[in-house]
Order: sequence, then structure tokens, then C-alpha cells
Amino acid sequence: MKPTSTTSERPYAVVFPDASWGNTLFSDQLSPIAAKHPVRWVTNNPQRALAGAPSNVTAISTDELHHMDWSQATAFVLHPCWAATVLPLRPRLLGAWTSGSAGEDQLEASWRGRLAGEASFVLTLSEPYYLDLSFRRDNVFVLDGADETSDWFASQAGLWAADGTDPLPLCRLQRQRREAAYRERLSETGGSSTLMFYRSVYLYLLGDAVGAERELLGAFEQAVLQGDEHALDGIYRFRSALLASQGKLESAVQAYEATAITAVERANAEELRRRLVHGERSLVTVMLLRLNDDHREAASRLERLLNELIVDTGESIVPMDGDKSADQMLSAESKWKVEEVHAGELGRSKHEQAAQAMTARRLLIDSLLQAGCVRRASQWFESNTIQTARDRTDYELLQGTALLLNGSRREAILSFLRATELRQDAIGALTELALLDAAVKRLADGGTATLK
Amino acid sequence: MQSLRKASGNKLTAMMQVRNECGRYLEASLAQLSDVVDEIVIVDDASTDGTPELCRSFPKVVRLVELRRPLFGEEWKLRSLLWETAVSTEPDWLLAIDADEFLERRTIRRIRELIDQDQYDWAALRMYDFWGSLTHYRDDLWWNLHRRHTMMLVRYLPGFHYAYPRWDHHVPRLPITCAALPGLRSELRAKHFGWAGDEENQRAKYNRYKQLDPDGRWGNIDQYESILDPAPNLIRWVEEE
Repeated sequence: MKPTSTTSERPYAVVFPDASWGNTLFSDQLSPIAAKHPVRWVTNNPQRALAGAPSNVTAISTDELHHMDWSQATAFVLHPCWAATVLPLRPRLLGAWTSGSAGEDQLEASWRGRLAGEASFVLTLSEPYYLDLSFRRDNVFVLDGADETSDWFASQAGLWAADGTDPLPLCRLQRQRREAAYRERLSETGGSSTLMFYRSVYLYLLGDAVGAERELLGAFEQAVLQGDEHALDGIYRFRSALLASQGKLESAVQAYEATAITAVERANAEELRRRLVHGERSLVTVMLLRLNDDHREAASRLERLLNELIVDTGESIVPMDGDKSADQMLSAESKWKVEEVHAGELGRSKHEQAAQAMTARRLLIDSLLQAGCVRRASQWFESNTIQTARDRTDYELLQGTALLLNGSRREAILSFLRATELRQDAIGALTELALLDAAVKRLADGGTATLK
Repeated sequence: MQSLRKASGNKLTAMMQVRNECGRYLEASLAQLSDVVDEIVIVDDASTDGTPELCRSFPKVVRLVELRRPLFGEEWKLRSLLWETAVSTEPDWLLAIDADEFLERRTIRRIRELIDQDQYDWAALRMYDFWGSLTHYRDDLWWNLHRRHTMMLVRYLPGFHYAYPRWDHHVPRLPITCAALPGLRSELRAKHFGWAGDEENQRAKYNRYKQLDPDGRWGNIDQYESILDPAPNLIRWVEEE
């Protein structure tokens, strides 16, 4: 049953298009929304952009966007180049709609990732991208025509959002339906490595790690029998995440180590073992999740871990003086008030806990960036912990992007300029801004746009 | 917590399933293995000829499971039992070998090199089918196992998912999932004496295959028929030291 909207005023939908009404990739999904709700279409050229559109789809210019009451609006953003335009407006709900990743260049993919990370929910037409995103965030929907019931949930998500209701409850229902569809296909066709692997992934996303492991091992056996060269790293490695999420960390580390072939992977395995021996179970868990690309769960656990390490006064246990080495940190104990984090991690020295917190913060920022959550990542990045020019450049670029997404364009540009002073190639951020502006102009004119 | 892969000091355990092996090659096989491996684990598939007693006479046989009811018709169960028994002795590496198989002397000399490293988790050898004698091996359309590699050595990785296909016959000697791990295809050789007996012995084996698998469900009918080939292509074996 759909939750009731919390607002008494009638919500409305604003579409940030990928093309004109007649050429949008999402006409099938927009039509039912337009049939039930007034839709505002962002364009500076209504004649071109809205040719053939129903009467309740009306234009709103880019200049008018800042005069709307966004607390009652749901934004449907159909192109990633709108990200820096729409995010500062802070609509009540923001849906990022995307076909998938085919044919995109790196820059466009980067902005698509940021939009997906910052949106309230995401709808995609591609299952691989849907699963990829499901490991980065919640509230993702897929509409791929593979299953009628699954598609219905995705369509409902759009309608709920247009009505001002967060579609999150539908996300789990759609996952359950898709898992069931794989189960049905497997019972009809017998063992298939690919189908079993997908089912395992869905079970994991639904929180059934035990069932997911059972299915994964079946997929692994089938893959080996079929001579799949990636059976070990492409399928079996996922077992380490499944075991970690069950709290079976020793087995999880062993599962990862069995798949560790390259020098980097073996170094990862060595680090996992070392940290496990030192009792750093929380960090080992998130490292395993990250090694399996589950940045969603990793970020969630890291935020909890770091919040537990915050001192009573609100200070973090990371050093306030970022220039100090780890040894110096030890002598500055008066600055710390370290809380015990984990029953298994009792008795650790403050120095070790400080080092653990610094690692956790670094991993959290990376996982948030992998998830496209630029603004959240920037909040965890502390300028006083920066030690190298490269770190400083990355910091300025990150802050600049976060400022841009918050609507502070001039401050963002100043941040990018500071980054350019430190590293010449950071000028790319300013070039990117110009490309975005040009793309938005084309989209608002009723055309299409790429960042290539 | 130790690394799964040790580059030195690995314990090598031979694993073998046997059934009514007295008077054949078992004694010689165990004698050779006793010089090569650290421990031997055996599952006896309900022998009636005193095979278990012979096994027990070798001190390196650290575990011997004696089945009362044969599992020959459900080979995957037999293989799985042998595997579980072998890994329960905490080996670092396992050598899967039959009672009628022998390692060439050069292989014996170099076997520790194969296992005392941390780069790969299995090693495959070339297996030669000796035919009608211990001096020649067979090499033709149906008998060319030596042209491929046979996985015989695997590192035991605790916690790894080891599984055999649930087949009644012709089950691989080692869990199929080992093949996903990095391995080495070696040119070192092993000898299979199962067909080295006389014509009467070969016909008896032919009859047994035809009885067990009359439709060629588990093997190849043409290969079964080739057992009776009156003039197989035989090549003289030259042992490498």
C-alpha cells in the first residue's frame, strides 16, 4: 500500500529532459505521469521541445527555475548534464533516469555517477547498471522489459515520486520479484552459471547472505564445468563479501585470499590477515565489502564506525594537526578521548585507534565517491589532514564539485583555480564546467547533448 | 592467521582409492609413494582380498577408511569420501594417484619444486597408458591421454569450495573447482600400468566396462572397442632420470 504524501498541496513534476518530448528515451515512462499530474518541462524553446506533447505538459525556462517552490516538486532528471543545475534547487524528490552506460565517454559517466549518487532515487533501463548502482546506493529501479511485474514496480516508482511519495518501499519489492523471476527461470532451464550468479546477487541485496552463498557456490561449480576463465575472480570472490556480511571474517578472508592472484590482490590479502590478527574486525569487514564493490554497505558501516569514534566534544579522534606523524600523534594523547568501538577491539592503544580511524575515514571518502555522493564525501574530507600537494589538489577539486552541486558556483570556481595552481591538469575541472554549461544550453533548447 | 600458500615446508599427502588390489601393483605403488610423500590416505572400497592389511603394513599410511559396501557404482561419493578423509589430515598438498600409477624418476626428483612455491595451486602431469607390458605405452586415436595434462597435485586451501560432479563413473580424481585456481601444466610424467597386463587381463577389463556402461553413457563406446585392437600403436618408454 502506498504511503500517503505528507504535503497537503498538490505536488508537481518537473522534467529536466534528455531531448525534446518527441525524442526522449523515456516517453513510455513519462506519459503515465503526464496523464495524472501537471508536468513542467524545462526548456527555453517550447515550440521545439514540446511539439506533440499533451496539454498538461508546459514549459518552464531555466531562468524561472529559481522562482519555483521546490519543496512541493519532484524533479525527473533525464540527462546527467543537468546535475549542477538541479541539485542546488533541492527539490522534494529527485529522480535520476538513465538508460545505462552504453556509448558514454568518461566525463559523461562521471556526471551520471554523481547525479545517481545525489538523487533521491534512480531508474534505469539496464539490468547490469541497475545491479552496479544497487551496490552503490538504495532506491534504484530497473525497467528492462524482462518481467512484467518487475516493470510495474518501476513504473509505480515514477508515479509515486510524481505524487510526492518516496518510492523506497517499492525498491525491495522489485528486488524480491526479480529474485523470484530468476528462481523460476532456473527451475525451468536447470543449472546455469549466469542465472545462479544473478540470483545470488539478488539474494544478497535482499539480505539473505546464506541463500546467496548457496546459490553462488552452485554458480561457481557450473562456471568451472563450462570452462569460464573468470570463475574465480568473477564469481567465487563474491563469497568473501557474503561470508563477511555473515560475520564469518576468518572464512571471508580465506575466501578472498584463495582468489588473490596478482601482486596487488596478494597485498590486499596480507593486509586483511594482518588487520584481522590485530582485531580490526570492523575495518576488515568493510575492506572485504569494498573489494567486492559493495560501496553502499561499506559506506554505511564506515559512517557508523566513525561516528562511534567521535569524541564527546564533537571532535574526531583524527588529529587536529594534520602535519603530525603517527608517532607524534601518540604524544598528543591529551587531544584524544577514544571510545571503545567493538567488543573484540577492546584494549587497543589510542595510537592504534587513531590510525584505524584515519584509515576508516579514507575508505569512507573513497566509497562515497565511488557511490557518487560527492557532497557527503566532502563533509568527511578534513583539510587539516592533508599532507601532500596531490591530496591538496584532490581536496580542492572535491570541494569545488560539492560547492557546485550546492549552488555556490563562484566558490566552486575559486576552488578549481586553487587546484590548478597546485597541478596543471586540474584545469580540466574548469573546462568541464564550460562543457556542462554548453550541454545544458543545448538540452534547454530542445536538443540532445554529450560531453564528448 | 597464516597465509594460505606456503613457499616451503609443505606437507605432501598421497590420496588413493583401492579395491581388491592384492597381487597387482599396490605394494610397489605404496613402496614408491613411501619414498616420495609425507603421508598416505587410502579409502578401501570394500575389498575382499586383504588389501587393507597390505595398506596397513606401510607406516606412512596414516589413515585408512574401509567401506563395507562398495561405492564403485557411485564414484563421486567415493571420490568425495577420499577427499574429505585426506583433507582431515591437514595436508598442504595432495597427490591424487591410483594403485596402478607410478611417477617417473625425474618427476620424483622434482616433485618438491612443484609444491614448494606460492604462485600456483595445482600441477598437472602427462600420464602415459602402458599397454600389454611395462616397456611400451599406447599412442593412437583413442589412447592419447599423455598428449593432454592430468591434474594430479593440488594445494589444499582451507575453506575453499571443493566439489566433485555428481557422476556415477569417470569422475575426475580431484575436485573440479580446483581448475579455477592458478595451476601449472608440467611436462613431468607419470605411468599408468592399468592396461599393462596380458590379453586376458585386457579382455576382462573390456567386459567389465561393457557391463557397467553398455550404452557409452559415461565413456565412449568406440574407445571401449579399441581395447581389443589386435595391433595398437605402441611406443617404447624411455625413463628420464
